[in-house]
Amino acid sequence: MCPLSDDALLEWALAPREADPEIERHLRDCGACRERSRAVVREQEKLRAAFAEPPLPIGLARSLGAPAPSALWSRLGVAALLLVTVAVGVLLARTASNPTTGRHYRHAPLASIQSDLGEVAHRIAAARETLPEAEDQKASAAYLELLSQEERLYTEGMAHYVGERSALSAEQEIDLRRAVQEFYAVLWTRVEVAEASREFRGKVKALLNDEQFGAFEEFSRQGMEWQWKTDIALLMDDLSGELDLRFSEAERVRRALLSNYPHLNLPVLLANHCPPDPLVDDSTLSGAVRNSLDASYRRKFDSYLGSVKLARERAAKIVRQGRTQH
Amino acid sequence: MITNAVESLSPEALTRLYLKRVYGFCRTMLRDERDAEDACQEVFLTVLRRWDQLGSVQQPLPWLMKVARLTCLWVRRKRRKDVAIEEAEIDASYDPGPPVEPGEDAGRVMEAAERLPERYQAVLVMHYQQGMSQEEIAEAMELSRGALRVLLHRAVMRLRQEVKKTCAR
Repeated sequence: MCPLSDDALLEWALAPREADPEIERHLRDCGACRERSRAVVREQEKLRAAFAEPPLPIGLARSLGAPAPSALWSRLGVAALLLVTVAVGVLLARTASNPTTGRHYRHAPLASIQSDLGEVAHRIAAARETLPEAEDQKASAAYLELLSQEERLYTEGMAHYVGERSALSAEQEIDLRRAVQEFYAVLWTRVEVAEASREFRGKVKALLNDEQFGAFEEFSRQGMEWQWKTDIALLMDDLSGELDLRFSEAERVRRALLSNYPHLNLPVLLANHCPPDPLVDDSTLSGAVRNSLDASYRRKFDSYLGSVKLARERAAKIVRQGRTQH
Repeated sequence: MITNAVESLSPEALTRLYLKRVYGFCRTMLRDERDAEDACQEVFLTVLRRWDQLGSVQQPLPWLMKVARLTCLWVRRKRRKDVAIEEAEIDASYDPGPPVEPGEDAGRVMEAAERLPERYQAVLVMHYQQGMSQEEIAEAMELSRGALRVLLHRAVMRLRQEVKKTCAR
């Protein structure tokens, strides 16, 4: 099955320079995807043409237009620009010849993977929203792959961070990764995970020395904090878009979320979870958000909750089937 | 000392440089020439009013687009033609369909765009008409890069959906 989804192709077309080089490589090798990519590129050209800039009315140009700058100021401007360019060039050359070697500093636990994690979290949220009602193997596989991608990223980041604090032996690293994978399998299938979390923490503690376990706990804590903040940012964006909130209303909703959005207490990032889920599960949260909205938005909010429930059920079904097949 | 982009310009130069782009944005968002002219005047009046506070603005374009967008929102609300009311009619589970065909009438695409929520319209105009980078659009919309990427993606999907509906009519 071809790995390039329509979503991936659209993202590639929207920001080709930032796209994953793997996509380019795949497009070179796969005729079918190349053909699909051409359709998306043609669409982009069409949209650029459709949104073409309208001509500026002469009256407006006259009323707002200003006289051209004098030649003296133009020349001074060019001279200043040249001077700045030379100064920056000299500075860069000096910096390059005196690199600051040997400087070490400890980065925040999630720093190295935060950007990738954020990207995947956004893609998971967007993918879940467009999961088709009818069974679609391609969409299901793409969704499961995104979940696995987030888990892999997180696990690798964790092993790396723990190892930085106190080097992991090859055996320790394998065991840690296995323990995390097993715990993820539990998270995918169980609703009540408190007991499993305690067991998992115990297992990891037995695998690692004290310093490593401290790093693991720190990584988990920051992971949860990151997830809380990311979830609220994503949910705000979703609600603002779906309900077309005015700025003042968006601010009230943000305050309701900041006060009521639940803090997860898990040892690892929860990949199979989307930011609006707590709205469905937690009546205090959904009540606070609903009350923060003007009455004219509440019907829309209720139908938004309905669509979240449906999307979640679809996603849960895919995850269940995915686990059974594995 | 290296001066930033706004500091190195006069208000007149800034207006001259960006007038056409700001007008283009307002005209597309408001779909009415006179409203767009009013909004455009308001944007550059804001520039004049706040000129002494603009020293910290590194990139004029995102800042101008942010002001232009807020001004257009204000104009739309004033005339009570906010298309967001129609957003409820968009079915989230509706298949967005294939990419917009090259033969599709540009007028039909714009007709479909008019039915999108304001945020979607704004990012589409900034992306396709203004050719702004995702970083610039994110700054103008006060979003993170990731959130902007998702918003833009959704806007295109919704546009496809609306074009498909327009064609089906």
